[in-house]
Amino acid sequence: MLDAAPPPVPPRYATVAEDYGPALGRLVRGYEADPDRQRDLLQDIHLALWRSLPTFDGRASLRTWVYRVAHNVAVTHVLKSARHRPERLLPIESFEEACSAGDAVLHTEQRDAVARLATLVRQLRPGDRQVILLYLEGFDHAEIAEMAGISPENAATKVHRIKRVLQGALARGSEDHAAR
Amino acid sequence: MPHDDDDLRALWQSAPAAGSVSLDELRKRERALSLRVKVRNGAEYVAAAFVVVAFTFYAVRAPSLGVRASSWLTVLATAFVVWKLRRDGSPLPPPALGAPLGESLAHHRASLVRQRDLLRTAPLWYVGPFVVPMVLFQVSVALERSPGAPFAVLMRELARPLFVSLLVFAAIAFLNVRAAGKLDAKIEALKKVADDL
Repeated sequence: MLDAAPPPVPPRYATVAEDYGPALGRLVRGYEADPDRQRDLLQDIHLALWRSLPTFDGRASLRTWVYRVAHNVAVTHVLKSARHRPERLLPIESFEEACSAGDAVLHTEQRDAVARLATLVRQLRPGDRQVILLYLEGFDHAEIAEMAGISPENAATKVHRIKRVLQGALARGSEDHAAR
Repeated sequence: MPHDDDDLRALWQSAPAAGSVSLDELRKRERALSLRVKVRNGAEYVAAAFVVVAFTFYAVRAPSLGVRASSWLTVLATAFVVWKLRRDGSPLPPPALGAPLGESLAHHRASLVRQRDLLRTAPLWYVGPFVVPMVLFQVSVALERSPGAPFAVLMRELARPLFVSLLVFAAIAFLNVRAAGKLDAKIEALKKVADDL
């Protein structure tokens, strides 16, 4: 039942993999903590790009398409996994409160600031997570809004609130580690 | 520590990528996925075909009118279940993978709702159509074994096999309805995620 010849590489896939590979490799850290599962998710994203690129119709930019596919796959991955318990993820308000209170939920033992940042991001609900991950990759509010399918004002508000909380939490985390 | 926007972005972008993906790995996954879909679709038809062939044989060859009638009813019930699964159980056409997250979530939720509704009504369309043929089949077989037997004797003969069969049907119905209940929690979680966008 297996095909004798390997499936052909879809047009543009090689370019997409080269141009966006590193960013996609970082994106999976925002959705999975375990390295093996990160790798698994990364393969799922690349497979989705492989399968969907032939249907890309150019209505959105290729970059928007790539990031939408990646985040859709990652969010589905999180929601389908019983391990992730979507009901435990925090809305922005609870995330802000928890960080202000120095909530143990958000306390991380990791010395590595990048790892702490990823851990904090993974507490967020999928929609907010997508927004902040796009921001961290360097996109502006208009671009984030287009990719996430929300208004630029909504994107700007979310970015502002989450960014402020992340910076505060990271600063507090550094002080804790320095004091030890 | 990051004090401003650039620092936070620089910090994130300094993270090493979680590995890379080779073409060979992708091709393997693509083949595996296609195979899984083919096997899943094929299994449904193979099971139905088996039931249809077996009961058509009884329908044509059995000496008893009751067994023949119940066999035809079983064939019809199987055809109905297959039709129902094709009409209401096939996956919804997916949105483009590159659709905004809200659309993707709405599709995912609609798929789960469809699946839940199908499971919840399984006692009617999946189990129900087989009850009458099953009862008729067992009554006919009992009458064949003990022609002219008093009603009480017949009932004693039928009690156990009927009870076991109805218990199996009840268990199947229960398991399907319970699975539907589990999907309710997932649907609700998805709704909350979508409301957050």
